[in-house]
Amino acid sequence: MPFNSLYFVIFLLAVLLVYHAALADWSWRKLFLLAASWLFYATWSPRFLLLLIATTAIDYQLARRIYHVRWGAADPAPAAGRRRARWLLVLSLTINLGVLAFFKYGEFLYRTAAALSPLPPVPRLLSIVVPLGISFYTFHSISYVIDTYRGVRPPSGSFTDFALYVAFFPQLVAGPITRWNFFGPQLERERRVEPAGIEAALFLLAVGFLKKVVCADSLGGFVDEVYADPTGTSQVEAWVALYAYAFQIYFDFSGYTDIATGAALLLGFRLPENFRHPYLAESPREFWRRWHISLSTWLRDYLYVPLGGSRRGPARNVMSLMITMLLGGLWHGAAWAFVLWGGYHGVLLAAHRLVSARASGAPPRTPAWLRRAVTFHLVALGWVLFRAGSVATAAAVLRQLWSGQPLPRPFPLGIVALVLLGAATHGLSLRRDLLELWRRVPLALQGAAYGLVIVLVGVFSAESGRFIYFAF
Amino acid sequence: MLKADASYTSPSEDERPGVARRLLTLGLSCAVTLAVVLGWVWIDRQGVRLRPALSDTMDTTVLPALVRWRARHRDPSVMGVVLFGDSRVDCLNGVTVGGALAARLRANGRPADLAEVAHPGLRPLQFYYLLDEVLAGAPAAAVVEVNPAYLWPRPPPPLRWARFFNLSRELSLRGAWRMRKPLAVDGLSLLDPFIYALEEKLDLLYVADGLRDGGQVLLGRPNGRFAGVLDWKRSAQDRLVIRGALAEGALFRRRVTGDVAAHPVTIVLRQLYRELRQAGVEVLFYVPPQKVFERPDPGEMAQSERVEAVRAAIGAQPLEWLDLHAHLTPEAFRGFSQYLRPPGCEHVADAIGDVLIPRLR
Repeated sequence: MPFNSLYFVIFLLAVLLVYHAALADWSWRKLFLLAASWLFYATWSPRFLLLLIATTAIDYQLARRIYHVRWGAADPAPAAGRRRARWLLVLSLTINLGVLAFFKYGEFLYRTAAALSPLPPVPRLLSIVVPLGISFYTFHSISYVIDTYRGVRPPSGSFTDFALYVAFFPQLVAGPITRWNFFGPQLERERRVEPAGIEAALFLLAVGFLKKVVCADSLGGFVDEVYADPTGTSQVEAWVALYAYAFQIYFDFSGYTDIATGAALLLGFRLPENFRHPYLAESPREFWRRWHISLSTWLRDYLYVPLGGSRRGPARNVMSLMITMLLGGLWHGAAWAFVLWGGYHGVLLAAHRLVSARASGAPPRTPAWLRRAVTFHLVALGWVLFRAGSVATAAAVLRQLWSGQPLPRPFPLGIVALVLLGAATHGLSLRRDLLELWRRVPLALQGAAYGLVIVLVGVFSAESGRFIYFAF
Repeated sequence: MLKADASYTSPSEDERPGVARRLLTLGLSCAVTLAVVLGWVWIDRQGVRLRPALSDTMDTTVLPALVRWRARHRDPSVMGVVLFGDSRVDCLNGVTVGGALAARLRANGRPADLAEVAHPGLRPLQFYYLLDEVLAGAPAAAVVEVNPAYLWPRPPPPLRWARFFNLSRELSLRGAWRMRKPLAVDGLSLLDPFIYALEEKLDLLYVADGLRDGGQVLLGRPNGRFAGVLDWKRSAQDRLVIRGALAEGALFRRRVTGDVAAHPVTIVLRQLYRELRQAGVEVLFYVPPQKVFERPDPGEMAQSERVEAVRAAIGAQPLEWLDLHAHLTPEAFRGFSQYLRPPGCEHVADAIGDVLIPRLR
């Protein structure tokens, strides 16, 4: 049930109706939300709902055990308790990462091995569909168990609460990756939806659908054609495709996040911020503080810092960055292109770190606009590898950027206009909060605009594609 | 875009009065806008949909021909035959596999009224959309082209125009349920066939396409420079592209596995076969001749193995399956493409006839 489907609209309206109008008790409301979230998942695959429930139940029990042996009896716990807690943590990580590895990477590893030495066709056991959202909900569970081990927040005393945290439908399939210490407190008392929340939710839903259905998918048609046949693409089109994909993936994923946040707000829940106008970043490091924030902070807290972070000298720092980004790349998909993309960002981050260290805190001498332009182009070039899916296709697209091949078709002005729209919203947000601006518009005009958005989305949705991040 | 501020979801002190009034204003202005736009569309619906309706060759040529075939009164000595296929059945100069097959049947004393349900880009899923229409014409035999390109573990995602979304309106409730996985892979939900059917009943089919086209025309009005700029992807659809690893390929992995029996095309072909057999129709699947062969990825089956695995998964008997993929030399094809020259179509028709005619006696 993708967000850009009539199914989802009907589902959301039905959930809102029952949640707000038919249920008064908070416990029942949470139970209903859990059932709705599981139903939402089951519409994709009832079989894999069982996997979701099973891993949820295991992590719920293991976290409780970990908390009991490590923090429950005495503080600090005796060495035996700490050891036992560590073993339980390892068990939980093994189960979670094992499930992820089996479903998401099993076939990839087999094919990699088959490329090196002749093997029979992929066994049926490994030819399995990748469960939707597995990368996201596994990371929810892992952060919950690790935070419990670290004593960041006690584990949930209610299975319903924990299961709802893992499966909450607006963020189940493609995030944002929420932490228990962010979501857990919201489950403690009844959520009320405030008028400002409704306004923000409507705005987010409208903007999210526009971003996805109108902007991302229109750009996607152009990008698809260029990547399908790079050698038949002119130099101008290759450049336009470079920018178009940068904004396609931004509109697509941030549009999804806007819809998820809007839907959650209508239920009275907040989700963490996931995008902060990423193409305004002045450095690769800042980019990752603005792009898919929930993933980058997750990788920072559970991978980069435990690997040593920046505390153990430059060499260790570079190694931590590279490992984090390579694994971050692999998280996006079981393909070497994603690993390379992660490695590319690892190199950018490490280079930036080394240059910054040499400057030793002195303010940069280059103007901000230039730093933004350079960072944007570095990121956009990285997206070529991400989009191409193979080094050969990426190389073909990159070659076209300098090919000098003339433009045989009309200049894709509409595509450029959409790219400029993305750039303009980034620029505008430097000075103003877009929601605050929107709130100044008379209500009647807001309503009319929402009506037009419904028409636009209705018209465009027939050609709407899937969300890119549903694949990860 | 914005921070999901805490004040949106927790009691706020500066709660503004008149929430109901504000929501009513929003809702009313939204409803009025919708009513105005939809009213305009309703009044001008014939004009709005004209261009896309006329340019849909499935609706303007293939479907009317099928309806005529179904309604035609046949002499008892003439049997109804249907051929499902895509652009590979067309060998130019008016020579098609269907035409050549009809001639071959006639020459062998089995005159046939043959309906060629074929169109560029048509796939087994669309064959299934049209199955009820075909069965209503009581055919004695059905020949089904199995294009091996669609049997790859990661088939190239069909171009958008080649998904024939609105043709799904021909599906019955049961048919849609049976096709739920292939529909999902194609980007359609279970609701979509009924929405398209409803649009057809309400005389609104193609209106959304017409509105999109209208936008294009509007963009083209000022000075002509804008014409077609957003339509880039459609003009490019005419180019023959062998698609590489597209993002959709990765998305396909969400629903499709290397397991041949669970492949969406196998599911469709199996169901097509079952329903044709239940209706007493003689079925012959054929894999058309190929010039270019896909090299299997490491750990994947070779094409001939895959084709055989598909046959077994469908449940078709060896006599009901004709694999012609390696039957012709490169000279039989037009240039680099997989398309045949006219003698190629005749060769395919002869091969089909050799298998089919004895079964029809």
